[in-house]
Amino acid sequence: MSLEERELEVLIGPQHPASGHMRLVAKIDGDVVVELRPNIGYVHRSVEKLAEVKKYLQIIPLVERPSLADTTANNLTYVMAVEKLLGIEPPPRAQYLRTLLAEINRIHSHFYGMGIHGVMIGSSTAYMWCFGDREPLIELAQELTGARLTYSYIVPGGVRRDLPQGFEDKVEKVMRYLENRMPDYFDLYFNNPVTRARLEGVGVLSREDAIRLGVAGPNLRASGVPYDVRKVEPYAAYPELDFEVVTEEAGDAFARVMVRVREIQESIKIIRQVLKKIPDGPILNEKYMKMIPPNLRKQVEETGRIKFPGVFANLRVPAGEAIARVEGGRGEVIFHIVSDGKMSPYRMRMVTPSFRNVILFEHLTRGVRVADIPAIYGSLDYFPPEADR
Amino acid sequence: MVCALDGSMWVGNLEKAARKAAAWLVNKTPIRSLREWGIAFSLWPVHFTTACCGAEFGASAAPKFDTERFGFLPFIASRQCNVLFIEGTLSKKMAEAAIWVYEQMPDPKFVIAMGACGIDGGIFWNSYNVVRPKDILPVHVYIPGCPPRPEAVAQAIIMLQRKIREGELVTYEV
Amino acid sequence: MKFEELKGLIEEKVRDLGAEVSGKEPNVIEVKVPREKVVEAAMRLRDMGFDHVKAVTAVDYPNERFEVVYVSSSYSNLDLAYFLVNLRTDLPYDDPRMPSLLEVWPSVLYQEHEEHDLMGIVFEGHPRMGERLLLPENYEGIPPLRKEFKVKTEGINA
Repeated sequence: MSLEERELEVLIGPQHPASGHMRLVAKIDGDVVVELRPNIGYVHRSVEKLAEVKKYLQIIPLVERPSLADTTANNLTYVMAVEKLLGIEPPPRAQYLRTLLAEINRIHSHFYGMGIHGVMIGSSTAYMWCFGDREPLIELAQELTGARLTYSYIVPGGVRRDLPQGFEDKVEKVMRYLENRMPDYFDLYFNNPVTRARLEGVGVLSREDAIRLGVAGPNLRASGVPYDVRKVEPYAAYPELDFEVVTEEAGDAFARVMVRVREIQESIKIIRQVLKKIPDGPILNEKYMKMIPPNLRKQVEETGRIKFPGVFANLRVPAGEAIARVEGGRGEVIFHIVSDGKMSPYRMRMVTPSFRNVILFEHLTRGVRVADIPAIYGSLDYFPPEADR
Repeated sequence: MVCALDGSMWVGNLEKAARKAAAWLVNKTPIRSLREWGIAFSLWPVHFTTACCGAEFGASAAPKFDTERFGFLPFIASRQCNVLFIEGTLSKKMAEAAIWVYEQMPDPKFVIAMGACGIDGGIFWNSYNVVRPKDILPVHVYIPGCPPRPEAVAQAIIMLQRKIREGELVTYEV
Repeated sequence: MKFEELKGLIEEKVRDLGAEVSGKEPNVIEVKVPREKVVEAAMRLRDMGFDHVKAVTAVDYPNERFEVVYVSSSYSNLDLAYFLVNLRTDLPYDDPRMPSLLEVWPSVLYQEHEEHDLMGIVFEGHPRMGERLLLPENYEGIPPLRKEFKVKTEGINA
């Protein structure tokens, strides 16, 4: 038999055990993948088009939905792009609060990714542990913002709410819990010979390829590229905080998981610094604060909850273009907004890290065994709704 | 068929009569409630994630909320499952897949639509690529919210169980 | 590297291609070239160290033009990573085709495909032209991101 005749096309998904909303079209020869093409678009909901008919403030919930486990990154990037067009800066306290929520979100987004990866490689314990340990962080975010996942916390000019009373102690408690918990993960999951055998040396992405293919986030850093938007173009309160960019050299599935684990430890460090350094002051830009009617302003100062000034209802953004980028849990989020001075953006381009990482499915699976596909898929922390938008 | 027993003679179709008797028996209280109790506590949703509500669905299967205590455990193959959980928006491409999955499931089968998108498209109501689940599938329970909390998922499961045990959903046909 | 310095350097590199270089403080540099020269300009930018594309944005100005923006930056040189170089080109409205930059930047594979799918721009030389990416296979009609494609609205906008 010739090679062409031996090749077999296998469709994996969209209903498959790895809980993905996508189809993988694999050409296999025996047990070896010759070519694999992801067939995406199963969760395409046209966020970019809908943004053109929604008002600037209504778009905040809209852009959060696609990446439900990592909403703060999208929220923050969008608002930063709008702020660039408006030419306003949030006050320092709001910057710190944004950083705080972004880091809490980063940790639980990493847990989410690791948990789903656990399901894919057949380790239910990893899923249960990761999703269980994600809950305390979600509780924290919920206390801060009022929602479990879709926070819409960051608004142009500041944030919606101030720190609740006694929040610092609760955060510290959770951070201590996580620190004590991490060694257990190593004992049971990461240093488990089965896990190691399935992940080490699988799906190796070289440094050159990672750069060439424009990969984003932990997947890039696992290949030894120390690129992190928080350092390269610092935003929010990151310029004043001390942290390291986590990199690994191996570039395999295990390295990608390890980058996430070590980033959780960095995030714990950042959260502690934020709570130590957070300055007092307003949480909304002065310009907007003045627009709140005086009796409501008093209420805002007492409760720490922003009442939106009337201008937010029909927020007009000056004509122009702005690009903002943020390092979210899964990687770099880009918003490119073209405004024509009306109440809705003329064009909003939203590039999410998952969309930039789709290319890896093709690249990393060439020549691997079929059984390695889930291990590679999971290690990319790929979230289909985020890629399809 | 004619059957002679103790000298008496019965006339009729035995097979038909036996089916009738079985249907009568199975819909009679003790057996029927036993059967419905059994169905209500062996709900197997198929591992089919349609959109972003999957994140909260995952959380509801995890330790804190633990829907497995209701006998509700996501399972791999559609041939072995009886619940289709629409987790959020159905895009046109995904709707096709949802119908395939639904048709492969054995009877009796149930559909739960999760999230505002599962009801009427939610925040994506005017998108060109969104299908409402009720247009293509018989939905038994809706869960409002965007995304619904895991508690709401648990509530929906309890509602489905109650509906099953009230005998609305499962009929035994001969 | 300073903003003005880099802007001057890029200007020098692409001047003979008929490019207009402008800048937006603090870190965005705009390079506008005619569509015949876009591959050459991209190559020169890549050789300067802008090794990947972060976003490809196509903007529709009805009955006037399409604008395609490649937002590129650097991973290998972290001094350059702070800067975003937007390579822009205008396409006539009735003939929205341009050469694909896939040869120069492999990272545009899916981005260009998406703009083809949703905006209807043809990237010549891209291997997946004519295939659907995000839309269903059987989709027919105007590409949805064009302005002439209307979605329903409600309230005072309707």
